[in-house]
Amino acid sequence: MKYNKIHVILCLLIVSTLSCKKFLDKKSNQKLVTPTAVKDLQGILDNYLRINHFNAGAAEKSADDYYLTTADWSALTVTTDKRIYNWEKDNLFPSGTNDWTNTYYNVYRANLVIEEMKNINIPSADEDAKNTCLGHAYFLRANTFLKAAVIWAPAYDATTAGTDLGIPLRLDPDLDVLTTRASVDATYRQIISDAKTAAGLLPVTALALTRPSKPAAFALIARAYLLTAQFDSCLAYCNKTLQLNNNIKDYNQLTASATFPFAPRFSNPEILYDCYMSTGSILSNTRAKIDSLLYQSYTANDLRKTIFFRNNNNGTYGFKGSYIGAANLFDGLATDEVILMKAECLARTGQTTAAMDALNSLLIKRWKTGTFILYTATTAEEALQKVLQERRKELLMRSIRWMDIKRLNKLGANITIQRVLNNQSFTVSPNDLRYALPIPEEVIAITGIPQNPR
Amino acid sequence: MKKISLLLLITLPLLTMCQSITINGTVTNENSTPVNAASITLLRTGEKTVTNAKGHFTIHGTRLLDTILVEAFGYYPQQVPNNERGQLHITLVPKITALAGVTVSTGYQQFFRQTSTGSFTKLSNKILNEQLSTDIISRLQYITNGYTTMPSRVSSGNQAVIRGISTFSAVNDPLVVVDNFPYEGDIRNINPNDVESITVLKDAASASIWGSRAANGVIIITTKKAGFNQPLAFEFTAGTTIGKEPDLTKLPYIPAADFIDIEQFLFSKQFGFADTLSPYHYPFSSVYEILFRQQKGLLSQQQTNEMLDSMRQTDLRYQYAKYFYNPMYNQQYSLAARGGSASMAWNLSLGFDKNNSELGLLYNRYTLRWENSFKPSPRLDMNWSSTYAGSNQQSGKPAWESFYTASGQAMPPYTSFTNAAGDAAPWHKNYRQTYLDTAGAGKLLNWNYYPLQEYSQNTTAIRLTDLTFNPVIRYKLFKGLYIEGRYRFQQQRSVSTTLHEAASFFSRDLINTFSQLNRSTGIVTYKVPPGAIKDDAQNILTAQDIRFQLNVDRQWQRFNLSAIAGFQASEKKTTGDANRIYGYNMENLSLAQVDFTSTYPMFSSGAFSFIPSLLNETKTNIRQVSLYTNASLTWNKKYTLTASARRDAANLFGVSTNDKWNPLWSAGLAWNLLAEKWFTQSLFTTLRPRITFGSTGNIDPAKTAATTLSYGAINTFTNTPIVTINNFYNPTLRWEKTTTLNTAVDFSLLNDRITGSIEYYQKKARDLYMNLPVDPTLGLGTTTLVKNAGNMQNHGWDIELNTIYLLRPLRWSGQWIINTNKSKVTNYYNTTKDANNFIGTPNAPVNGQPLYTLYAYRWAGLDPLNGDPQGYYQDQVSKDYAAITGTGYPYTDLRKVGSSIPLLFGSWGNTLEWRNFSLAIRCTFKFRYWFIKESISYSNLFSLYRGHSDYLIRWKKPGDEAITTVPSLTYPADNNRDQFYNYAEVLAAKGDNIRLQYINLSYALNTSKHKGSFKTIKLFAVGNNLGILWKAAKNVPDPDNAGIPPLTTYAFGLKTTF
Repeated sequence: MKYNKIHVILCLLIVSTLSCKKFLDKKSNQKLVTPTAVKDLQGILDNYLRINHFNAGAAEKSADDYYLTTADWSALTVTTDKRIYNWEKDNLFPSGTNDWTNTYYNVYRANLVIEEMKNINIPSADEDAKNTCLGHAYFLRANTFLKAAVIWAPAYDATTAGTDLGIPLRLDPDLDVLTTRASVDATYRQIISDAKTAAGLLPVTALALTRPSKPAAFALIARAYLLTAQFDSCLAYCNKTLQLNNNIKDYNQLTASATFPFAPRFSNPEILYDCYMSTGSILSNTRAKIDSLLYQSYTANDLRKTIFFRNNNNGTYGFKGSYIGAANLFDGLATDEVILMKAECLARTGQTTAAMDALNSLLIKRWKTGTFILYTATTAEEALQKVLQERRKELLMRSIRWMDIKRLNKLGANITIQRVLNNQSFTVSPNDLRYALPIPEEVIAITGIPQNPR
Repeated sequence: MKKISLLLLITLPLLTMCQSITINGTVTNENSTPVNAASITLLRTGEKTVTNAKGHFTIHGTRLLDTILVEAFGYYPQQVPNNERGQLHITLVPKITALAGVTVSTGYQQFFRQTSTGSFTKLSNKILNEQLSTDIISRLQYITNGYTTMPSRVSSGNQAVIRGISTFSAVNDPLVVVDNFPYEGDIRNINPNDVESITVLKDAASASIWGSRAANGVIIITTKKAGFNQPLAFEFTAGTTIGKEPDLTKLPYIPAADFIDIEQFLFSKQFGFADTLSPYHYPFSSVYEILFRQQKGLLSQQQTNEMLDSMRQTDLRYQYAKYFYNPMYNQQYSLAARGGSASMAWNLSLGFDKNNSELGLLYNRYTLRWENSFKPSPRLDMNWSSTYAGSNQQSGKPAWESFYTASGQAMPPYTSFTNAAGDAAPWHKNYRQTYLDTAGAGKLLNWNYYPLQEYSQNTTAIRLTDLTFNPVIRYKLFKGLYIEGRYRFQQQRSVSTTLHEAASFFSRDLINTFSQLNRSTGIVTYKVPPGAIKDDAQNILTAQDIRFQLNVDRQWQRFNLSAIAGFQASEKKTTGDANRIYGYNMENLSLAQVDFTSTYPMFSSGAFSFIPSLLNETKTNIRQVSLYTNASLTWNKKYTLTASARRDAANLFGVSTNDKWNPLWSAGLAWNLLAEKWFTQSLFTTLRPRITFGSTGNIDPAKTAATTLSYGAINTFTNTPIVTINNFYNPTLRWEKTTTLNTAVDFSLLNDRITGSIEYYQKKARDLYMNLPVDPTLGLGTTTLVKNAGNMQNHGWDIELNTIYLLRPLRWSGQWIINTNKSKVTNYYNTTKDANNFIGTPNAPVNGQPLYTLYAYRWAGLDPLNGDPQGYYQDQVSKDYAAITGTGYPYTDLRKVGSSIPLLFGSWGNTLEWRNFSLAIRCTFKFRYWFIKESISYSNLFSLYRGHSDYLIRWKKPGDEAITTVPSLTYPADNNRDQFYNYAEVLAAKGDNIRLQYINLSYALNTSKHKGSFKTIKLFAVGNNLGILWKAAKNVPDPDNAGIPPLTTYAFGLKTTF
């Protein structure tokens, strides 16, 4: 009798132990998954609140699209912003979250998607979704690398690109892979290759503009070719983009007096890929004043003069023309940039008339209806100067000016930029080493990668 | 009773006879609870017996004149003269914290302390009830050996620490076990009057039975149990606690007059003028607005000065005191009834608490507890208890410093909550007044914010109900072998409702923001409909546990074995949902539909935004299974050997089942020296060295090795889900493991007049989790990653000494608790040397140093020329604040100030009992720790309006450096300079202090005796947080607490049994 009881107890214990495995296989949090389906990975890229809203703002902060008054500069609370404004040599990025971490945040997610996509079984019905997702990841990586190269690498110079220090090209989500810097040449080759892979995978029209599309990928490739001075290839990809999307917004349809004329978001048909920079208070339109010479270069009938700028009623102007339609500064891709790239490449390859035609096709939508007088040029050089001048006026506050100064100086433009604070002036001469911003000191301390020479 | 005995003692010798008699008697304690197994000895004849469960005994004596010695574990021995006829009733006096006879519970097993080897702190009902509070846990910190709380500057919220900190990451609360199972609900659900005792498990031998959950210590709460064979008894307790509102005038504060001067200075520098252009219409303070008007020529210099001068008279502290703070008032009532027959026992208790805090926060709690024991046969034993707790909480008024503008500025000290007519005055919270005056062309809702009204128009009610059901069945298989099954069901439901009334700024602001005004027609389109906004959140927690356990209690000749082995499965489920309703009308429960999927222009800025939605649903389910055993073997009452082992497995996500198991174990040895024949002496009555060794572990279920994703909201642009990475692939993550070596000696001497224990422990923690800085280029989105980052050691002494001095009728008992703890990081893998990782981060580990070492910038005084603070850079006096506070400044150049948590702490309690009076006084002390005083930061002052009274004693002119250490004001403010000064060694202060924690005075009324049952009435008064008796830092109001110190409260009440 006694032994029977013990047996019963032992059996109970054994049975309960065996059923443990099943008991413990229950998910501890219903919202958690390990990546098993395309939608799990697509969801990572669709987190637009992080992926599309935190692009590095250092290029725009460094550029001469804007200036600060001494009083506003003094009142800045973020010391690193004060330093970046003056083009100091070091300590330009706060510790913790900064442009570098935001950049590689997107790179890691792109890499994770590319890597995990290899490990999951995809039903044939999901093949399109897989291509869209994978294309998105390659596009995101290329776009992010390009922005980083503009900030932390010197301008592309074909003669030295093989040895100039580019950016770390992290291509694997494996946390144990050490960070090293690739050459500038390898950086741009990776960008172009990723963007081309993306273009092959992406649909012509995306579900929303927070996702890339085939024309967006073409525009990105064109931008990379422009930065590496490969004007024929750039032109080819501009045309490919415009074949799929050549919308130009007629600014006559906009309300110039609106606080944000391009609101609501996505309403501008020129947008190919929608994202914006992380800027902090330094670039807010209450502080950043538009360079007065630049403002004066817009003629009275140029609608951009009132649509882009807000009169501060004290002789200064703020910028309100972000394609986001809010205070956030758009730094995505849009057809106006593609047309300007096309015009520039045409001019640079001697196709003067075609260059002017491209330029005029854009500008006619920027002037008050019936007031625009078509631009003409007699030489390719004149055409180029006109295109570049209009480029300056069209693409300000979009993180494009900094890359333009860098690449144009390589081509002999001889642009010197200047800031004045407390009657003291700060200048950066063409091709100064400071055009490659210092990598955050924390990164150097942890990884030991070489710092940009100062 | 005593008088009768005395009388008998005198008269009985006259009746001396030499014949056999029978003496009957009952032994009870002071609460008239029978004392079981008390030994009864007739001193002359040596005749012996023991009492039964009802406390009865019968003994046969041969001579009438004899003395009876009554001894029982946990009580003072008592000698009484025998009695010729009738019943003897003997009342034993319990030893305060006697070592012998105390039963301790591990939550799995209860045993006499003298058969254990582990380290326990047992708190009796009596000492727990010296304080009066709504919850029971807050009483522990002043009276528990080995238990302390963190200074609030290091970790807020009275964070409990048992035997030091042996983890690098955030310290978690200890595991609280109520009646054998971890309590999963809000600990405030427990009525303190239901608690019989609390045991704190401190070493591995006692705590390792709780396996992976024991890492932060274990607190075992045992509730009052029904006893068999008890007459019907009632117990009623009532208490009221009152406390004055806090004294805000002691807060470091810049008076309005000085603050206005600062603002005038900032205005002259055009500070913040950029915000005048903001499309968001960021607000400016009243002083700025006046100066703007003056600048525009709308006010003359004289008008401006008059307006400012009248504002200089205001004091925000008095505004708060007048309108928001009130005396606190808590009430507590409890009624219990219990009784029992030979086979049935029951216990019923009711509790009611009604609290009204100093900010008018209301909290009501109702508790009901029903416990039943049933013994249908000698082999079978059943018990079940059910508990219901329900509470309602209603939000109160705003606490000090709870108003901020949209741009993060604090409320300036000249702010008045009322206007000249005494009505609620608006305050610039989100928008400029000049904007609000014209914004809606009179078509929008009033857009003003009224600090005086907002709190009453936004109220949060939290209703909590908790149901617990706890049945046990115990069956005796054969002698010494029991099988036991336990089940626990707990469900806690919390419903929180926040109502933003239609009149509240919160609602009006959202409605106006999403209003579209057609300026030509004057028609307003509401995207957020007018009306109240209601936020609902509901959380349900369901915990179930089942346990099968075999208990062995056997004696074989000289061996005594007491062992358990069991299996346990637990599940803790939580489900939650939240929602927000717009356009809500309480009267008829009507509500409005809003469009959450489109963006709408915001009225003030024109930027587009979604209407905020709170819709959310959560579901978690944590499961754990465990196998455990614990055994204690005693030989010849001399040597006790104990061992325990446990394996846990949990449903850690993404980990295969095999990797989920983790074994933990312990072993111990105790030696009862007094049982040795060669140990002959008369000093000691107990002398028992013991030693234990074992391991406990810790794993955070949130930290799994696999890449896990978490589904969030829907991307409204693509209508696809947003997925975030919850956890990064981290395959090398292991459990944290702590081994503890505990050596101790328990002693009592001079006939138990002095009892106590001295314990020394060494804890070695391995593979501790730490968020290590990782290469930002990895792109994780976090700058750190959890890794097993290193090891540390902890060692310390727990000394407890209890003394009793009897000078009848005075009885004086004292208790000393002295604890020390010192830690050392032994192996830390992170090699960062940057000082800014250590400044302001007291738990940053450094190899070879104690954890929680306070570092500060070295101080070279103020620059006599301009009052700049000076530090050192590369051993040279330097003012390069960017370099000193920047990356690359080595921590070895910092001043190591000392520990930021007390290394020596404890308490001293004294109880004086004289006739019916009892006075208990408890002092606590914390020694050997340091902290950094708060001071002025000019960058915070300018941009956030956060001031500090040190501003008033700043360096102003050469020579001031001799009388002050507060740097001069500079413009523009340099936040590196502020960072340097705010963490400079000149602000370090010693935290050592002694507090008068509480005094409890009680008086027991003389009550008449009824047949066998006693009626007691006890009146008591308690003063709590009575003040600091001594502190090392003279200029700091309270070294343990920044900000408002804990309130001094006074409680009065009565306790009666009938």
